[in-house]
Amino acid sequence: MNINMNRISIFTVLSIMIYTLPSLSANAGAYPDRPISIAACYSPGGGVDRNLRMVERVASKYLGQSLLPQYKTGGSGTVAMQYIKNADADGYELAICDNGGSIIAPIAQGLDLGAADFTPIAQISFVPWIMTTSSSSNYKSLEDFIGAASSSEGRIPIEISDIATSDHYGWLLLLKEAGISPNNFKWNPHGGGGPKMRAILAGEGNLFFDDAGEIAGYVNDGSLVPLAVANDTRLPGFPNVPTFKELGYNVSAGSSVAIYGPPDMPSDIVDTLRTAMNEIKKDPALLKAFEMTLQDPTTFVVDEFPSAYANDWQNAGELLAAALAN
Amino acid sequence: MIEDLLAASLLVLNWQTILAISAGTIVGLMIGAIPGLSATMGMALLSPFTFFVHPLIGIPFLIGLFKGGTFGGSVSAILVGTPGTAANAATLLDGYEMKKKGKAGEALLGALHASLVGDFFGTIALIFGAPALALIAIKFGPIEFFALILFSLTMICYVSGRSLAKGLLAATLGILFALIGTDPLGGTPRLTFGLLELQGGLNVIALVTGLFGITEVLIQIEKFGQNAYTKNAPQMVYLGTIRENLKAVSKYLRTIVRSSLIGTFIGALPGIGSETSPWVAYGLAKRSSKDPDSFGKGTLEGVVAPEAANNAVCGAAMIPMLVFGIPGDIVTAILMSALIAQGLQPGPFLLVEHRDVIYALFMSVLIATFALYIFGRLTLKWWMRILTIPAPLLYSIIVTFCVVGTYSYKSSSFDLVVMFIFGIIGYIFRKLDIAIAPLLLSFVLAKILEESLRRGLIMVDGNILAFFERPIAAIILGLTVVILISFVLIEWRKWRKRRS
Repeated sequence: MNINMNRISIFTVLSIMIYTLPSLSANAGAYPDRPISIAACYSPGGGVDRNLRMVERVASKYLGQSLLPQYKTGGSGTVAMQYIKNADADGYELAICDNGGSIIAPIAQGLDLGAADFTPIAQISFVPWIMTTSSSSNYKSLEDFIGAASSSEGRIPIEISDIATSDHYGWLLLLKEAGISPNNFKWNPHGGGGPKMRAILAGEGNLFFDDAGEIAGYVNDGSLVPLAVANDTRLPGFPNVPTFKELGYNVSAGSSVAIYGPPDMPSDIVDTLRTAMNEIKKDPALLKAFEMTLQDPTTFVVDEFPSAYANDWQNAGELLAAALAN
Repeated sequence: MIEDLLAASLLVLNWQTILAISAGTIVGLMIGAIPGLSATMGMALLSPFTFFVHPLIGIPFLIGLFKGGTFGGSVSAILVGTPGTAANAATLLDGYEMKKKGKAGEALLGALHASLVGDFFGTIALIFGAPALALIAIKFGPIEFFALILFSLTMICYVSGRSLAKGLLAATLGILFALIGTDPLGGTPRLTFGLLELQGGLNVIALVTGLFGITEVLIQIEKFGQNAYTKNAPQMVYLGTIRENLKAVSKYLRTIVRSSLIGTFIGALPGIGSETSPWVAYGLAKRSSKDPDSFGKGTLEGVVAPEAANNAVCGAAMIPMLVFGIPGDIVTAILMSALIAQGLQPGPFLLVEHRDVIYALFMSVLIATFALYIFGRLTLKWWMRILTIPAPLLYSIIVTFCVVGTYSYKSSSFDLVVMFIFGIIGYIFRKLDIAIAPLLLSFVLAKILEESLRRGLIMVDGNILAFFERPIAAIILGLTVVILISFVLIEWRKWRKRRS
């Protein structure tokens, strides 16, 4: 009986282990001939995870293999990016992250990461920021704000998700365009978009960047006022709100989610992935998921992404280095 | 409002919605009862599927899963001494002791009854008090959070076991472990010793399964000797009747109501409910108990308090998410993205524009409360059968599930290393008679404490005295001082009594 019990124990342990641990076997063949692991930079449940799962649902149709979500979280997204930098460039290891974790945080944290450390595959979505104030604020337009910021003696408080996040970066872009020093402001970091919105609603602050989905309800009830959109074109939900570009400031900023590979991936593998991504972005199930999550499907870009990505690295590097040095 | 609820009942009292809630609850119970697996993980994995079904099927399914998983975590805490999450660890303190005394059935049924009451409080607060509670919750900024977390940390006094000094030692280590990772404001890696895997900080699931699950297995291995099989004979399965249990539980009605209110109130604050409220409920129950010395030795009061608080959080946590569109934790963030995916944008207009659907959701939260009770009750007998599994097999399975659960949370082998290291740390603690709970409690709270303190200091330009200018923070800080002084006084009296 004792021996049997022990045998059963060992058998149970081994059998569950075998089912759980990933297969180590790899057969040579046309890429991809086994599932592709994709490391999300944040925990399950957020925007990055949602986009990953939307793509994952349809990916196998066009890649012939499924995407296996993994979670390499931490360091404001940089853990996944450092992981992918050092991963094998065989196309079976990818990462998905937003611009906060893949570009802004590595610069802010002074990590040894740069544009050349990743292969940009595709941008899945881009949600532009909208500069917003509360209705009780003195700023009724972008010009009111710029005027006050240029002449103000005290520091103007601005609510941001955190130091060196994509909304903070959006502000830095605007201030650079307007020729105003970031030191004229008191940056209040709240530790996320939710806490930032809480501070606004509790009346503790009244100037911030957020996306259309977050502010729509409060704009409709009159408690928040959108001043300008950091996008090339006006947004369908806010047809009366001008873009920064219309107002004379070349600012395009927001939160984007993109897929990356390790550096120096063979070009045929990159081509296979990009071709599949170009098909995935037209998939009806994916388009439906975009519609349901209030995302713009035209921001799923593949061929134009690498150059935009390189530009972002360059701009962010210069701006953040200057802002964080103070 | 009552008419709205009655009208909403017609929307949810159909077999599809009831089936979705039931399925969610059962899946939740199963996931929660497996050490290392949590309701959060189940929801994250299954939420994408809810995008493509009717809102009154997908979202009720997730709500059932959330509630089932929250209670399920207590099953493994009581029966095998391995909580699924940090939130269930407070139940373990007395639940597992009760199991050792052969009172596992009473503990489980008591936990279920307390969960039912707590769950009901949270749900009623959600349905009838959401706007009012949300208005209070929104006043909680970093400074108020700091005060509340500091208050919660005083509960270390009540979970330290026999020696407060050892408890404080464990709590200090917990804070030290919480500092590993990345500086929350600057983003600089700290105490990572160059290890990339440590940049995300220590995974709390790995910590919990290691400290409790692996430690327990190590302790059990010790007992295996020549007489192992007689010493570790499977226990009798006796659940007890509902009437008996209600009688036992009703003695602690005040504790259950107090704990439910704590769970409801703290649960309505974004982000900290599930991790904080069971401990606060446990600490305050011990503080006001007629028999505080029985805590930690297997009293039913120590099981019902955290359980009521734990489940009250389920309904209340949805308040800031629905009213303001501010999700506090992963669970509410998942529910929110499921709502958005259905075209229901949480925020001020949700109740106005989608009144019917939201009241139907409220009704499904209420139905889920009863589903939890029914399926919890029906499955308790099966769970009790865990006790009939021979120890060698049971503990082998526990190790396996700890490994599977911890690994699958982030697909990280490093987390397994962390789990086993903390298993050894927990074992050493047990051998030195140091309570493990303070370590876990301070580990969980230290991160929020640090972040809220530093963000609060930025807000007031470094002047910490300005914290007292905010009324809510000042009241909570005052209460913290009162708790500490009264604890010192009680201990001093005890010490004098012993001396004389």
